[in-house]
Amino acid sequence: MSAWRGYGLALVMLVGAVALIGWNSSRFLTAKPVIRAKDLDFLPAPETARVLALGHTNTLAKLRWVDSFAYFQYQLDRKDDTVAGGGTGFKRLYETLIELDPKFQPFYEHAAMNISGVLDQHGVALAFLLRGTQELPQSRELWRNVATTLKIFFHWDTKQPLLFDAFLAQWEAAEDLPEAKRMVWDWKRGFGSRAFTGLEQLPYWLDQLRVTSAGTPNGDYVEGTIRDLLARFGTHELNALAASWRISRGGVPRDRAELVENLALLNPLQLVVEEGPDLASLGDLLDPRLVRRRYPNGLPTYGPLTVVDGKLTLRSDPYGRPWRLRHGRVVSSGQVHASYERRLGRVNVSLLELAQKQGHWPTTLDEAKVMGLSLPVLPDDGTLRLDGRLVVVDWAVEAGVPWQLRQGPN
Amino acid sequence: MIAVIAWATCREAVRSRTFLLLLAVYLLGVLLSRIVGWISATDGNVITTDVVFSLQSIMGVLVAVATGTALVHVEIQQKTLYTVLSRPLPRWQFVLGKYLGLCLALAAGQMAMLIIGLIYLAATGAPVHHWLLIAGLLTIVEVLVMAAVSLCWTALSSPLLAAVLGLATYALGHAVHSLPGLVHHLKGTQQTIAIVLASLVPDLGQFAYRNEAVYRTPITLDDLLMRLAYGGLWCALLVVITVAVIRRKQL
Repeated sequence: MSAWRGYGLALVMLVGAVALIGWNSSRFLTAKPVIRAKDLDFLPAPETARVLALGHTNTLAKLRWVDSFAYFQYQLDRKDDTVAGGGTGFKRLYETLIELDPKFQPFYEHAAMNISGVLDQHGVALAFLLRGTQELPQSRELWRNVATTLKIFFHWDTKQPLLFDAFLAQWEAAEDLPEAKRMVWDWKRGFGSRAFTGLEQLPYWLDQLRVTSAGTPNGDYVEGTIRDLLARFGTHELNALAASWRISRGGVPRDRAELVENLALLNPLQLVVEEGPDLASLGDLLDPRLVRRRYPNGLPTYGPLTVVDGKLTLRSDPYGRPWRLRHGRVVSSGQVHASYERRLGRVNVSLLELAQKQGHWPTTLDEAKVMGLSLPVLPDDGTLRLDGRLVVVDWAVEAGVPWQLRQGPN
Repeated sequence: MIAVIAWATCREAVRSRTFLLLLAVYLLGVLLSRIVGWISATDGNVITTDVVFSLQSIMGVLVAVATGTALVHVEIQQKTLYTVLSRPLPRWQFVLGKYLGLCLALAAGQMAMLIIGLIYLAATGAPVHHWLLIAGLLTIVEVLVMAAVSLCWTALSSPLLAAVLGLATYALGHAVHSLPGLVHHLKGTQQTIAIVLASLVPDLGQFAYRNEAVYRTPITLDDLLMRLAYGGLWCALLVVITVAVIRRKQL
């Protein structure tokens, strides 16, 4: 009798447990994705937080930080950082977190990113970054962040060049490795003395390049991004030189920016050429007078022009392919190719979907088109073909040696 | 005789359900610590290390308080104390033996936690270095001080109250570490009273080197020895107080 009672009890427990587990899991199975947003409902003052942490300051800071991620979403929706009791939310949050764990670098980076990026309070963001350089003077990322903030938001390179140089000297002093000091010199060359539009992100990506390995997906992505950035910069510079060349020969500025940049080249006595003149070849851009005028302090390190054996030379584009003239504009054929190859990736996904839908793979490109595959407009130096189950492109000219990003520019 | 009591106490403590249960909770906590790292916007190594070392301290203190407060009380409840004390055994030897046994058990448990924690960190790719080992050892000292605190409170009050007072002492012990930086807010007599009261509590922040060790911030040998001596002195003082109270107690 007692055995039966035992079995009965076990059965009741089993049924109860299954019911409760089912109840609990049903909440997850039927749940719809929700973006979590919350305000800072509890945020003690930094000093109080330290007292309340019971010796686990680091852990508490990180747990509070992870919990505050939803506040970021809240700010994206609301963009009003005022919190109950006065003050600003992000400022109070990161002051508390940093007081608890001042050696954790991501606190400074996230403080700057959120306060500057979401709320446009660049002064507050800068204050956090500067505190970071005091707590972690060896952190290259924080110094670079400060330099970028000073450059982008405070324009110290043009408004306060001496102070900016002093700041860079401070950074250089904080670096103990020769190669790190050399990097600061690069900054001095690139940012301290003059500004190049379009390369603001380069230091960040070069830093990412250092922490990735060649041949890995991450490494390839970072390299691709840098090449794209440099190609854009090179295209911009060559087109600016082309505009100067055209205007110096009587051409009409195409927009206000061209007019402002080349005002000194306008000759009132020269006959105006309404259409053109057009560049015959890219070699026309190697006009020392125009180049010297554009780069009075020397050629940019990562620019398209270089000096070989004392002679001004046009390098290949960062992909190792030639720059080309297309409808009067300079383009990087490597960049065009890379962009097209990226689009082919999407085409191949479509091809796979079509093959799955229709139950067979096409044997020719025409057959693929008949199946409904649409192809992006091909650059004039490319030929498409079907290689097995992939659409691939062949380029008329083989690529040369791309710029060696991992050993500095070639 | 002290060694016999210590060994018996150690075996008893290690076999107790509370001890094993909290060790199991620690293990679960360590396994889950990586999740905190994953959901953070970093590689997670620093965060996992922080959580693992905090768990060692928190679980260690909970074991110390739970076991320390029950130590003498169980002997009285089960009337085994009278068997022991009916022998020609001074009470101080009994108390000291009990405390040393508890220390042995706690140290063994803490070493197990430290080794598990370090192996887990190494297995998950977090950097493991000798500063973490030193941080773990200082946490063991913190736990031993808390065991002495619990023992002392048990002598002065009931086990339940002693557990509450033990945890309150833990909170106060860490809070007073921040007090020197805040005491300037007070003036005159208030400041003097605050300093005197804070000085009566063991400064457990001395053993929270784990917060710096994560970042490989070095600790000098002098500093380490000072902290160990500080812990040792508190343990000795609290055991002496316990002996004094137990000697006067009508059992």
